[in-house]
Amino acid sequence: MELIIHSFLNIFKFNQNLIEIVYLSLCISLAATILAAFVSIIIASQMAIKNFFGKGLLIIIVNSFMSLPPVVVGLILYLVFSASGLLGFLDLLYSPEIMIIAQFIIVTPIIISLSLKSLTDQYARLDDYFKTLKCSSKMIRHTIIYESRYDLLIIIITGLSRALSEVGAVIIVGGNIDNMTRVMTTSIVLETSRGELSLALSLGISLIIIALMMNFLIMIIRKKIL
Amino acid sequence: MNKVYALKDLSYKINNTYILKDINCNIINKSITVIKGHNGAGKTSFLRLLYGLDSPTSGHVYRNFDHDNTELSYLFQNSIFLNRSVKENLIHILKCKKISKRNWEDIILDALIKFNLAYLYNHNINVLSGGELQLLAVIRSILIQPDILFLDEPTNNLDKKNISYISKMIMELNNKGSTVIIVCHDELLLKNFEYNEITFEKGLLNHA
Repeated sequence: MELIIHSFLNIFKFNQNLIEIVYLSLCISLAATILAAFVSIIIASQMAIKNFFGKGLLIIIVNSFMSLPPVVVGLILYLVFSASGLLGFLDLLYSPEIMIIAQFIIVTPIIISLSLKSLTDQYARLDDYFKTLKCSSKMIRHTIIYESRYDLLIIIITGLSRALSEVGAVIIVGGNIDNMTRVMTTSIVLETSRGELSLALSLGISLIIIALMMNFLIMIIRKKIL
Repeated sequence: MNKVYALKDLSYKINNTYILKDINCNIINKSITVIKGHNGAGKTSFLRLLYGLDSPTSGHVYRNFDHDNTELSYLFQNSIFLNRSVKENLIHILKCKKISKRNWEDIILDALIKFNLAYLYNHNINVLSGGELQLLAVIRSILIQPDILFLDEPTNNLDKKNISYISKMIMELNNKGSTVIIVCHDELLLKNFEYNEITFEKGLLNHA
């Protein structure tokens, strides 16, 4: 009981260490999700309105990548960005940037796959309308993205939740360095192994609060749709 | 008489079932043509083939006009709207037609005022009644004066007063030189103007 009270006190007293970790986690995951959303929605909207050779195969690959194990992503990035790796000269290993790249790779297939369904449905609904107006591809893309805006927002929040809760890849490529690459999930792993359960629990509670806030946001958006 | 469309041995099948079979007929330029027939006779399919939304299984649709310089407009039986306000729905049409932004508000308000719908300007499409949606669909189809107007059941959900508005609008457009092709049974709409009639029976042309 004392442990739980202490954990909550850490949060309500705005423990400096805790705040820094939460802030870094949010910065990295938000950056990765925004980048992933930008790229994914462009790709998904193009896939929704165009028929091309290999589209079915591409959808299967993207869907398969949704369940890509984060540790595998971390391992591959480690090999590519380590000193002897292909992109080792960029010196990105153990930096927040490489953590953004790792989360970007994990989140992108999720956003593409989920938004493709929504955008394809909108395109099917509006297909005749576009034909009668002789809309350009650019106009069609803009319109279906705007028409799917609430669905896409929910999908992006889902992607952000995935990025925030991810631990396998960021611990490998980030190295869990204090004040530099230590995020909530990697910190929970470390503090638990060190027996610092109070801080670990504070971080866990913070993560749950953020998840609850995001679900609350999704509920508000859903209400707006329905 | 100048034909705007000429149909030669036109057939259209869906899942190996003939919807239209061996249709030969013409649509006269600057005329009003009314397509009649019982439910499932192939009227909507015929209109879609004329417009070019679908392609015939066999036969030809000859179009005697320049596609790039002819303004076509289509009112669907079940109107498709964007999930936005009335104003934004109409703006989208003007944007697609590359109308200068300066004129948007004037064009939209003029059209809405004509049908006494100016109060709906900022309303979201989801709060409109069936009749208001149908009128808005009609407004949208004539927002940019079309050279050829396709109307599929334009009087759905409308009361007598609004049917007479649409009737007047069709006459006005036709007097200005537009060709109007209507799928309709509503005698209230059709009684006010002269028209050529095409009647379908089970996918076959009854008389033209």
